[in-house]
Amino acid sequence: MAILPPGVSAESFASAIREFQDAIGREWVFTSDDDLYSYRDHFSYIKDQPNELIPSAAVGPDTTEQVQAIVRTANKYKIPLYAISTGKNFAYGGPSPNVRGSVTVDLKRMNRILVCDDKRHFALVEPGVSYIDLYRHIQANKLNVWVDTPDPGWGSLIGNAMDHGIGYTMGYYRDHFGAHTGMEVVLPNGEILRTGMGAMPASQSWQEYRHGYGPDPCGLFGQGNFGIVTKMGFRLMPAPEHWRNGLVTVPKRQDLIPLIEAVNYLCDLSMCGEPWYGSPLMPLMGNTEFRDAALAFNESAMDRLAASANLHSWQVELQFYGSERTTLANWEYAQELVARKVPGARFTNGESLKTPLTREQIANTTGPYPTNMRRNITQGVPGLGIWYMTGRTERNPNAWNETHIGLFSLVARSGEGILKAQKDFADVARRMEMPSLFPNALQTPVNWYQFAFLMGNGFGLGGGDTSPAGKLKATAKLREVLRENAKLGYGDYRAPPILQDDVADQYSFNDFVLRRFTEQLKDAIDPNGIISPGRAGVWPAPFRSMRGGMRS
Amino acid sequence: MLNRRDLLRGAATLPALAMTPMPFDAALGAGAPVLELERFVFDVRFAEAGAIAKHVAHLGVALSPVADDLMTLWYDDLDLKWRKAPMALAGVTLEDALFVLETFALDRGMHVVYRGEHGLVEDGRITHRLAGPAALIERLEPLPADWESALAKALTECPLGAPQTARAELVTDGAPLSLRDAPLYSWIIAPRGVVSSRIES
Repeated sequence: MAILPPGVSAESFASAIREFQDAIGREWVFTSDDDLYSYRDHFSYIKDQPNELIPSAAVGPDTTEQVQAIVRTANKYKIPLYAISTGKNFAYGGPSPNVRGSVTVDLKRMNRILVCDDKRHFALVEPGVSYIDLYRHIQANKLNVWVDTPDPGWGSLIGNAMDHGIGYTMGYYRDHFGAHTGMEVVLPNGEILRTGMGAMPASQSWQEYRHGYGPDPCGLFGQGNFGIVTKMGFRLMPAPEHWRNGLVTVPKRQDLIPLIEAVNYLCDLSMCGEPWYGSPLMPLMGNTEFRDAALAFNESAMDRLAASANLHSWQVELQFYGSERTTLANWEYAQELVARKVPGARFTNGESLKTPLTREQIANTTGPYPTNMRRNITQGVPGLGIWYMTGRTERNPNAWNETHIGLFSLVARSGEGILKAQKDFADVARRMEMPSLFPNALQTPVNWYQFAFLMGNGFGLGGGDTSPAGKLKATAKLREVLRENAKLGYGDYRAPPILQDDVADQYSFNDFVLRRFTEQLKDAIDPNGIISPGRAGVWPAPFRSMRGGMRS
Repeated sequence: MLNRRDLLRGAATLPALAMTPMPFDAALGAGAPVLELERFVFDVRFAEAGAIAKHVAHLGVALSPVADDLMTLWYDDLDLKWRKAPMALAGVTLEDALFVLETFALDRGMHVVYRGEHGLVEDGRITHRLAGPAALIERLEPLPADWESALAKALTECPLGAPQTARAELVTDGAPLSLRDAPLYSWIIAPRGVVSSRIES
């Protein structure tokens, strides 16, 4: 099923392919259906449809110079490129481009770890380096740093950071784009840009002061289409000597407010790692009386039923990194602080372990209390287990293996914000006739970003209809949910290509001035619009008529 | 360094089509070369997977037990081996494990050439939906009550080249003690240059 880039003739495309081959070698230019199979998003809601977002070809450069040559050829023939690092951004489109017929620039071969410094705590890597690769390098060289890995660890550090991905250790390191330390970028005209101290040819501190001097353009490259990042630095967490965790529960629904205040305080003083919120009441959702109360957000009834079941309303699992003594002191202080703010709070000691944990300790799922925490990721150890979500099981009958989209909205980082968001999300889901139990009155946020809460718009396909028509219907509902959420002030942080225009539409302040600004820059920097047109809703002039095209 | 072209080079993929059954011996002549498996990956949590693994082990294939997270298998074994060369392997796992291995395999010039879904035990019976080389599928028709043994043998006799593919839906009795709540998947992953007929999910 050979396809062409939009507006490019077969003759021009053939010429471009020959130039790509001359630049990087015939063996690294892929055009057959068989070769391109791995560049499809196998979770796509529009898989096998005429508008499926698939490439016309893929190229696999090995060096920055080869990326430059590819970009120059693409400019010559006005061919849109879509760069991927390892292509594992599943739930957010995987390797699929925004524009059908783009040429995928597959950066997997650029997989060199250029620096990994465990005294100054940073690494400089190429796009093809995965979390697993960097972890292996750290282990093999007995380096005293951790990698803050997302879940799973097969993706690229650069790719994950470029899509504002997250991790699970201490706050600073969890924001993968925020923890970057400078980058090298091939610009749309083929020039190489280095940011921060990298702009100074003789600098000894590229990875230590990312601001350099003057305006810092780095933000344009995250979820952006202003260039192809070919090197990027990351701050690495020094390996702590000890890890400890503990569970805090509070009895009443409104206790969530002081609990979150206390945990925010601890987090922002860097006294604890990622807090894992939850509700011990989840088992009561099987009880009709409680479920009715929860669906109606009847707080007094929920409190009464929780008390009669001798269950607390909320929990947070805290974890501490440092020495044995400092982690104990921080845990004791956390207990003191929460006890001061929340009468009736209970505390359960978790485990207290010297790091690095053994494989057996990481795999151990028993402990002083039930936990949802996936321990490997709290220890900087990549895993692959999260894909249980894609399997068809009784717990997951809607078969996410068919389709998989991640949508998480920014909500206020407070108990009041969460209690309001629960109601708002549930109300939207009800109006959209989403049959899922989520969102509901027990849903808690994730604190992936230290200074922000995200909450899932937790639903799969409406009715579990995985037919093409069912997927289209579900997609239409997702778009409507995004619109409704925006009216309430909830914006999403990440989306697959088929929904990126819809998420971008949420950010409409002052007649979309942010988008107009970035598109003005885009037109100036990339006049042919060849770098990932449409990425994050930023459409260059030559492709601007495609905005919203995935809605039809 | 990853030598991708070497890994990706293979015969054109044939679409997965149903075909007219033909005698097994005609489809896979006696003594015809078959795919030599270097690993058999099985999920130790499920009795049927263990039973199939036991039969496969008797046929001389090295076993790789897994449960839940494939990281150990990937990190300690497959990643290191696949950096040097692609390999042929088969398994019986949950769908997520197959997804992970298939995705890695596609990066390294390999793909799924046989895929079987073994449903839940319902009313004492299991439905098996199979797709792969026609000769392999035919060998399983009709699937005997001891389906684990038959499947184990078939998995070790995958034809090479660009075999025609077929699909089948077969039913057997289910083991009364099967406690799983999810379908099991049997599969074969092979280098694209060795078996070129991919079976898509």
